[in-house]
Amino acid sequence: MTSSNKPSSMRIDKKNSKGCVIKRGNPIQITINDTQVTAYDGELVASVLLAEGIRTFHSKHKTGRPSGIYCGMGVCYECLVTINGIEKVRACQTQVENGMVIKTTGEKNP
Amino acid sequence: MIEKTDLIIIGAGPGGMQAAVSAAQIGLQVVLIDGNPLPGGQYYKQLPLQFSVNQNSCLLKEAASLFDGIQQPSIRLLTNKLVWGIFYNPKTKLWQATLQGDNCPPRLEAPAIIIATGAYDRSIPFPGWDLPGVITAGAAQVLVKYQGILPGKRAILSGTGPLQLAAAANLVDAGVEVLGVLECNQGLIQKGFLHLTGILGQWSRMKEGFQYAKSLLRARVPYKTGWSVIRVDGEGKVEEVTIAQLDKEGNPIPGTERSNSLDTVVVGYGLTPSTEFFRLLDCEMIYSKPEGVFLPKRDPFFQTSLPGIYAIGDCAKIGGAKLAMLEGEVAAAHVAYQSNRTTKDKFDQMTAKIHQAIKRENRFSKMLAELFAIPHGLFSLAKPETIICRCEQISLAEIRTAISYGAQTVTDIKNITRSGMGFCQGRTCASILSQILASQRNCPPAEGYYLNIRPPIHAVPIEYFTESSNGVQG
Amino acid sequence: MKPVQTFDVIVVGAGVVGCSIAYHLTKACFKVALIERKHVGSGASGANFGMVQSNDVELKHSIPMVLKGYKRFDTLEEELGMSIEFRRIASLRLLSTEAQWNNSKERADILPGAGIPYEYVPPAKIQEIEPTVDPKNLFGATYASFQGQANPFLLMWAFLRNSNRQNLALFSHTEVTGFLIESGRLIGVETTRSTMHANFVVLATAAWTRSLGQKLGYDWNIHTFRASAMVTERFSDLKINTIVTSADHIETEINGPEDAELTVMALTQTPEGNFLIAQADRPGEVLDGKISHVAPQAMSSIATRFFPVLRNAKLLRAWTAPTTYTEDGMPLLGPVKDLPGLILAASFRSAIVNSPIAGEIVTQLIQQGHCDLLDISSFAPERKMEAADTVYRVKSEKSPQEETPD
Repeated sequence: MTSSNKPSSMRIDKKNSKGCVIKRGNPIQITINDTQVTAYDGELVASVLLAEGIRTFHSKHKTGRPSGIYCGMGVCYECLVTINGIEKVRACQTQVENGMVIKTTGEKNP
Repeated sequence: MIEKTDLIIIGAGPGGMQAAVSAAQIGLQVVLIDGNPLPGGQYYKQLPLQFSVNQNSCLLKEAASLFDGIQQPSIRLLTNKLVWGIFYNPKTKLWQATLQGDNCPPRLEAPAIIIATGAYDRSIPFPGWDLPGVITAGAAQVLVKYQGILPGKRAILSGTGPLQLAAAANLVDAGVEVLGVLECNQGLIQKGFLHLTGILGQWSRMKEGFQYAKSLLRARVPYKTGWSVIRVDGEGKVEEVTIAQLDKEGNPIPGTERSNSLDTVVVGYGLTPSTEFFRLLDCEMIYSKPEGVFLPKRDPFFQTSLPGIYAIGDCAKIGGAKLAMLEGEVAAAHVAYQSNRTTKDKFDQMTAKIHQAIKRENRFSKMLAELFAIPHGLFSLAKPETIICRCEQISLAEIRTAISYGAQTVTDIKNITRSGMGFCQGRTCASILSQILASQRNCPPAEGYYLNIRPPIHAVPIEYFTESSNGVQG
Repeated sequence: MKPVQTFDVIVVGAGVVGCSIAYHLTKACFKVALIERKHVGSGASGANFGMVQSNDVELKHSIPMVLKGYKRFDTLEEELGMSIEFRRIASLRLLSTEAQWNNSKERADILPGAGIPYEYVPPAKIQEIEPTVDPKNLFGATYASFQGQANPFLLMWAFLRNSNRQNLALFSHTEVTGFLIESGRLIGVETTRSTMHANFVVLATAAWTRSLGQKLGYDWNIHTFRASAMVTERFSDLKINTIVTSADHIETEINGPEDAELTVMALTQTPEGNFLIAQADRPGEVLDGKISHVAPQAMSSIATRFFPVLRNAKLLRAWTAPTTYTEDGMPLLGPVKDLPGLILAASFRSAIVNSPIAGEIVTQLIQQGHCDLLDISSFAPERKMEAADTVYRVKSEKSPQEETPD
């Protein structure tokens, strides 16, 4: 499985008007929906998903409506993903770790 | 054996950190707890340890003395820990905070707890507000400044207040094509004159605001007052936004609608205090119109109606970092005084100096609240099929039906429809329910009361509560 | 001067029983005020699993009433014009020891004859009913197939929605602060909102009945205890068809210290998939809704003992509510003997199944001065109580100081 090659990166690498540029942590390997992807130590799961062009993190119970990041602070519970087999974990509150397995799927029906 | 300390502080943002430093200075043993990996809260949010930036932000330079100040033996800093409940222990007559996280005491007790849990973005529902690609101003800041990630390529900002300018400037700097910044309030300059006294002594803030405005001007980003996003459309994500001009009451003026294609909508309608613990403990709560929610009643030393429970900063009333820090100082001094660790004279001395500064900050935040209130018309953008409770997927139509059954309080709506029974326990939808109820019953929002919250205040796997606990945070 | 309002009947307490009484009275064209100190269902009525249960009925005098109550549920949704999410569901009580079975024997002898199926199930047959239960260390189970479950909030609001069309005045966040007596008759109440006059006052106030009675100089024999429950996220890794309970608390209840915290396991899965888990009972006459921090631990430990996979389910919230019992297991239902105008409808076992019939009974009492639907003489408020069966034992009176988590 090769790392997906996004045509235009969602990671900010340019300097801003104050001359600041963020230097990320070391690259690590994680899996998103069975595809191996390079992420960086210190990134949130939500960030990596957005960087990979994934905006729908899960589908809602009852209506199946798509949902992704909204508040970015762990308050709204919209950014739920399955991490290492554990369902409904907030992507904006979880840092990536080497070998992490992430799935963005809808809810199983009870 | 339950670990004891002199003071527990929940929330290591500016307010919590200042309270800890002040308390330690007076000689108290403090435990300072935060759910994030690093202290700083939202206002002084630090980059992840694994990241670095070639230039320190001036905001974090400001915070440096606080970050240094909390590194002392009498302040025990616990990060990445969830306080899932607060209980009163009648046996020890102390307040008990229950914690979840790695390597931490499951319970801590102290005669006093200062709650400094801050605030989060307030939500206004409109058709499409729940599409992926609609994010809050807070989320935009987290992504851009804290993670170096673009939320999208082409964005519009809609909301009210100066925080929007900061978010817009950061997005522009990051390379996002910003179509415009929509401020729903109008006549700001005229209104601003009435509040000149509020601006006195706030030059550093004015300077900050001018910097953001400069960024936007340079990038030729239109700033429109009296406009707002009224709907968002797309197949499973943001694709098109419709904006409209608003009349004085905030109602969209028919015929002024315009649409644009984009991928990101940043909404910034102000902040909502995190009042979970106060409602959990049954503190006396009072309705506050600017925030649209109930806030804990506080005495002049920021103690709630429950002796030993203090509320400082944005979690008690939106007022900004500076005010939070001043309140933190006063509350810490009062805790010390109440536990006989300082004399009345010393206490009076400590607090007298601060009260003037607090008055000034209150004037400023009152001005902001009045200038940047949410005009009434914006509460009616949602259509019957618009989802109001996102966790449980409850629509406006279902809520209206519940009110037609005779619901008199927001808890009645919750019980009938399940709004507020999901993961977020109503953090997103509670103030919206309050508005809908008030509007449909033609009653003041205060009469609809507020939602209860139950422990754990964030969902925790049951495994944690069994004998062999091994908490998983997420 | 507080405003004065006049009604035919004042009902105090908007739980399932109060809402039912309000409904039946307004249906009979009475002008009713329903007074509630917080919000509809803020007491025990809003803190339970919604069980429409008949198998815990007091055996000597209460079966006819429970049967009538249960029968109403056959047609209640149609009558009230909306769903209350009612479904027939069985209840399965897991027995770890023969002693626990012996404790249930009397029920197994009496209930089936009365029309309430209740039988012993040997370990080998348990998985036919509930495949996910491991019968290995069990003596067996009792199976009560004639149970039900409803959404208690929808039940209350179904009653109220219909009442509202028929002239009900609901006063939320309104407390009764006093009673008005004239010439030996109760003529109304003082509340935090207004003075209210009526021909009858009905107290459907469960845990608050005793303290309200004390304002009138009565000390009605109702006891309270704190029952806790909790709910998980929707969890599809486990499927449960019945309401599963354990009987492990029985030994503690009979032989243990009087102030022991009794953890009964009761567990059921909502149609949406959430697990409702109960129940940790704290003894002591308490009226607050404050859950102790040990209750989630007690409930989690016992639930995962029987269903280990639940360890991964996330707990959404845990709560508690003051709940009542009487020593003889029967409600206080009927007119108060020497105070005309006052009627009690409190402490049912259990409230939901009896709520429709309680509404009918109280309406009859008010309409014609007596009840001929049922013999309710055994439920008289002022009766002397003799301890009945051991479903709930009387806990000793403990001050709040002493009944703490460690």
